[in-house]
Amino acid sequence: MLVITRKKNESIVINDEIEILILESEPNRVKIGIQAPKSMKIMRKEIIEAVRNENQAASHSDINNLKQLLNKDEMR
Amino acid sequence: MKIKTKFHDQIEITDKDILTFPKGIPGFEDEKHFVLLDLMEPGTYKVLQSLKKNWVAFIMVSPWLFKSDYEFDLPESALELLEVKTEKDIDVYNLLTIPKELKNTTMNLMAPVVIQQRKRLGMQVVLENVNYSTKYPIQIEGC
Repeated sequence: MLVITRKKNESIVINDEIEILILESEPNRVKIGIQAPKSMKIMRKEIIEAVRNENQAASHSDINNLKQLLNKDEMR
Repeated sequence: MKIKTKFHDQIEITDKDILTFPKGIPGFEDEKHFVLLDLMEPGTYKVLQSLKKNWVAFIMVSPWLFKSDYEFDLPESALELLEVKTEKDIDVYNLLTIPKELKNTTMNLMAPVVIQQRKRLGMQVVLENVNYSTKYPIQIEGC
């Protein structure tokens, strides 16, 4: 991993098209501004993690009771 | 061709039935090809079945069945990947997580699955800056 130290209002440029600007810096928090092409996906990592975890849980869904319920509906 | 499925044993599909998810699905990034099946008649509950690993399959529903005011903006990256021109191009489904107790079923509103039928493309869109949960409780009628 590349580690770079920046101050407030300084930025880094990635691949000529993405600019990451340090807007504010506090002991436990930094506010950053990102300028990138619209087609580029930018996400908070914990959100992707939450979706990954939920997908894992979804893939272990137990459909036995749902099937039973739908069968009952069909017979009605 | 014949494929093995998680919920329907072996079924016959054609190339036209295959949906390509160029980025896979978060947590299942290697699964790029799926088919959309009905769990049972009538087709309220859909199955998104992976072709590569037959044990990877998800139950999905139209979100508006359980949350009529659901809405989101499709990000530019998704419009581009799915080659979407108009709203009519797409179908939206959301994954269900169904535990043993059916009444504790939840729907993932944060990450809708968007399918572009004409191009047979799909992706799970992770919505940013929304108040939607990955575990939205739903009440399945009759349970």
